[in-house]
Amino acid sequence: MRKVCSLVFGLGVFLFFWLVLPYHLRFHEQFQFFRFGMDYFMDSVLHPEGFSFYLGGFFTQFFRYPWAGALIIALLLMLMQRLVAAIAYRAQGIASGRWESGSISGSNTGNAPGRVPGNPLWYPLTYLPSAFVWLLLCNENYLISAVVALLLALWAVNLYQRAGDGKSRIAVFYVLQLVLFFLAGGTVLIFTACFLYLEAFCTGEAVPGRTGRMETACRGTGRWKTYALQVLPAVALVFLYPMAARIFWQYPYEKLLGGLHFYRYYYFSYPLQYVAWALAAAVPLLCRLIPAPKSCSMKRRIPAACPDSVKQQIAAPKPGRGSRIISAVLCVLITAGTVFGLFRFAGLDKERLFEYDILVYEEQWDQVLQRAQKDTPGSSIEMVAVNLALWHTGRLETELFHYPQQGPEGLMLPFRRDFVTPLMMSQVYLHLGMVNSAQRNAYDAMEAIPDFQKSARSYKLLAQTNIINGHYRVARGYLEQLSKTLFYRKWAQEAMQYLGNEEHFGNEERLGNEEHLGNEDRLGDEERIAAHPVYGRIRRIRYRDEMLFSPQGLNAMLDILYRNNRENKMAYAYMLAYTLLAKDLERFADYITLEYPSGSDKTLPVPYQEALALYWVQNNSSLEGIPWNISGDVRKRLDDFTAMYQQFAGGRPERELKKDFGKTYWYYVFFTKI
Amino acid sequence: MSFLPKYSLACMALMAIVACHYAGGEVVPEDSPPAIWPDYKEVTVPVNIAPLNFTLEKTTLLSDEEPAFSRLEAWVEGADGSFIKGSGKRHVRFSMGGWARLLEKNAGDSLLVTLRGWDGKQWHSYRPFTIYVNARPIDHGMVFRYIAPGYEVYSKVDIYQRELSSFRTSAIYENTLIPQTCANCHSFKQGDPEYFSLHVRGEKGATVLQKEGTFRYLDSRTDSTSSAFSYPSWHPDGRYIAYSLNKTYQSFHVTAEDRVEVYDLVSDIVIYDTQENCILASDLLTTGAFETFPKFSADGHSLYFCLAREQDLPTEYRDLRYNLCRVDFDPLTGETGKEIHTVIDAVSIGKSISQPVPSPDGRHILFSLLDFGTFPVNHRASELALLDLEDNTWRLLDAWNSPDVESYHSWSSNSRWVVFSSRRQDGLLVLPYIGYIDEQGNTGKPFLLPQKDPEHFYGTLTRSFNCPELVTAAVKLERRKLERSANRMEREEVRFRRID
Repeated sequence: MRKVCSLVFGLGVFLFFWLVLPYHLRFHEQFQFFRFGMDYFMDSVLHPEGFSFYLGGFFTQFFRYPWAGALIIALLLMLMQRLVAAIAYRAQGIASGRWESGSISGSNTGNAPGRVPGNPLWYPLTYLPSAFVWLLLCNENYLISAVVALLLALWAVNLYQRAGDGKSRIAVFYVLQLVLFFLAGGTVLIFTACFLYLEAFCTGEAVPGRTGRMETACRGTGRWKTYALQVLPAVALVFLYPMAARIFWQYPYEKLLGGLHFYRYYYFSYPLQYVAWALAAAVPLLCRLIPAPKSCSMKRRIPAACPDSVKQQIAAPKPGRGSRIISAVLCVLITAGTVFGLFRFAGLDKERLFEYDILVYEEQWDQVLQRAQKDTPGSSIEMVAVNLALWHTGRLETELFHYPQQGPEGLMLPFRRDFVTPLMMSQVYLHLGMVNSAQRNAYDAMEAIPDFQKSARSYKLLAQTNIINGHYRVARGYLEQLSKTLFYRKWAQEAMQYLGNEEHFGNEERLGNEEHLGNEDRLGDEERIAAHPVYGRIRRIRYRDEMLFSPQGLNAMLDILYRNNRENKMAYAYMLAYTLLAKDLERFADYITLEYPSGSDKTLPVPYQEALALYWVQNNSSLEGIPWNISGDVRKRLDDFTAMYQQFAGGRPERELKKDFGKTYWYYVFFTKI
Repeated sequence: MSFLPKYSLACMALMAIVACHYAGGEVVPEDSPPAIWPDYKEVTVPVNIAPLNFTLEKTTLLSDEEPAFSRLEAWVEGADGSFIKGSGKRHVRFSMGGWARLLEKNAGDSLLVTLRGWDGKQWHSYRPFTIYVNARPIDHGMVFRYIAPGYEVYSKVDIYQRELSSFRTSAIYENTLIPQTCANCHSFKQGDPEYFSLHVRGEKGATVLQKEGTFRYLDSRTDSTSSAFSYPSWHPDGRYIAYSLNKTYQSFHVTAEDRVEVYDLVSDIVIYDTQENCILASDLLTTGAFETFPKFSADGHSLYFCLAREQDLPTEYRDLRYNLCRVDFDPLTGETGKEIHTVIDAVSIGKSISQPVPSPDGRHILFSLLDFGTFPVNHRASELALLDLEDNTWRLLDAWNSPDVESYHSWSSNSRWVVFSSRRQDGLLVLPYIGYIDEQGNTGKPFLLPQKDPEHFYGTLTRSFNCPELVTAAVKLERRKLERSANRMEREEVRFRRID
């Protein structure tokens, strides 16, 4: 039954992360860079908490596939629950075995005389730590290495509990405490707390062991003097270890104890996670302290193989009706609390943002637009994704205002010093052919990752931009690192073929008199790059003339980009869209003539007609003489819009006009604040 | 038979097998010197430098017939006949002790290095090459900043020191210690770590000043100055430090040649009196023009700096050019002279000078020469040039320059060695090269800072060696005091005084 409960719990975790928060998992994956090989291993583990960090990274790489990530999380949380249960069982004085309907099966039988056996009342409590960690994991910045560290601490407790009697067990604790601090950092506090109360509870009486022989579980520690001498130093040590670590590593004391790699923001603390620590330590204690119901009794069947000395029929409490009710109520309360917490903390807004980001990264343009139609995009960064998708589906010029535009920032976001926005913008810049900007945003996004990690996604983009720019040695460095990953290896090895032959490390003698920067060009496979659908195209449409990037003059930059290469239709479309979104009709009218000269029969997309019509009537009394081809339908709709606007001008024209004109440029101009 | 003899026999058997494996096979002479990496052929090294371990460049570029080697061996023979052997699978490693002794015995002379590689069937032996050993030692170590070659955002920024006679490297300050800080502009009085200045940037930041065992954490911002302290230069007496005050900005290039353009919208120079805790500001050096990169002369009676007239930036960034200038300095009062002397008029030749550094012996000034601008590390055209103060002539140091960036440099205390930054390796990462220079300014071929496994080290490096500074002894930063002062925001305010 308990296994079934654990499975159900695990299934719930799996389904939640797979179906409700899959993009949270993708978010995790792209801001880490786990690599196989001794270098990365040594770099990782030769630091306090390094092993947790390494293992956390190992697991996180699989989050590239949300089902795998969900499965891993489910297994980790199930393991956590089982460990807590095992610790609680042992804390009850039961060596091992299952508790089934009033009997103990297996080779372990009975308890020492006078011992109060465990009761199933407390079993639902063993889900508390796992359930809480489940809630914590809804925060995309709470890292898997924190879960690993927690598990290591619980596992250490379990190992210690199995370590035999008296002094050897104490010795095992102190060895494990030091090792655990190095492997898992501050979760050693959990281990130490468990040690303190487990030793305090230990009675020293003989109890049957696994083989049926009588063992002395806790000899000698019942006396407080021995306790003070052998147990209490653990408290001092747990606070001394970080001090000693600071001799070798430069971390603040509180981070060494509170977690270096548990929360993505290194410079912030995440106090909620310590509730999970407290629960992990407290639940076995609670289980030990909760008394068994008095009305219960239970007969224990003892296998015939057991020696007579242990064949003691003890009146053990049987889970009576009262216990079952309380246990059920606990189950319901914990389940309800967890579900409530999931609703509260699931962060579905962020999930939507992450989804847009991943869909853009994977160039799933139709799905971006489907997402936008399902839920209105709420932020500029989401609109950036939508507008990029509109371009790639050939609908930017016609359907720009079918989506809730918020100004030019929804097209090209200014630089922000975070690790999400620049990554999205790097995709936009790359597609536009603004290679250096793509590279800069990818690099700075990676540098902005607040726990100092690298990003495989950024490395991939940096490799691409350096290939396009002809910086093959730099590209090779990125690709060599990507080759050490599981999921980027294949791509990296294919990309390496574009680098051509092996290169010299700056050996000028070998290169003879060719002491110019064109040396690098000799080292790439230029023909293949030119033929590549992405590299070749972007090389053709990127900037040719040197200048500085101007964040205030983005439309001017797009203008130059387009004029540098008329093949760059995206630059043109973005330039027009930028001026429309900025409500700069003067400039729009100027740019439009580049592709739609006055008097041309070329059909203008409807939003362009709307903009030109509006531009014209701002300086003329009617559309008479407008040099562009404005359709009759647009002309009539402009009249209708004007009439309706005037009709409701005293009231709420925005509301009245939305139904018929909500997707027009006019509506955007008059009613969207930018 | 006991375990030990069995073990010894097994070892001997194993060694015999290995020896036999390599002993046979003919030796094929190659008629060219080996394409080693780093390129240590014909370099001049100090007598106390760490072993120049090296590897063989990947040779498939040259021809398909060139083999890949499974083992490399090198003999290094001194003029006195002594020699050492280095070997390895991927790279040649020399023992520290053997290398040190060999160099000591051959100080002032040269070493002949003969390399051979085993391709599985035979040895390929290359033409020997020479390494020149100069008897003048280099300083104890090099302090540098480890920073990624990024743009507007920094992540891990650390100040490290590397002992030059070994591979020992240790962190002086890592910005994990005080979160959300950065560190820059580490400087020493003529390489003496007893006189140490370092800026810690960020909300908890200030200028660290360690001098003769005292620690101070200075808040250098005042109402009368435009910014906190930037580029430092210690006076030889140790009392004064010249600092520039810079409001620095960045713009970014759109084409592939360069990435970043750094410029100052405001820059001035002030003198900080460590004794009086007072900034001394002169009208001459705090004008609307751009005064930056101050450096005291070796005798302390002059202050060199770079000067450019004001420009409309960033629009006119290509017109921004700096001259090398000098002003008198009175070490008794801390005051600068009343007249600025132009030492090199770089503007008139369409160039710009940056980062001038006088040699400790007072004979030369090493500087970076670029086509325009002020931050040479971002300019591929940046090259090193040397001004001879005896005859006031200057020239480019062709032996040290490459097609890519050469910039930040530091003299050894005996004025015979210079460590400088170069991007020649891949155009992105800045690496430290060490070059010899004699009294007349003649230079030896520079060499890349040696590493235990250079191919692996530099191949996996993701951060640049920024601002390498030679130091005469190990640097000890009072980290606990720094941490306490920063976390408690206990910063000593500095005073300000106009000296005109």
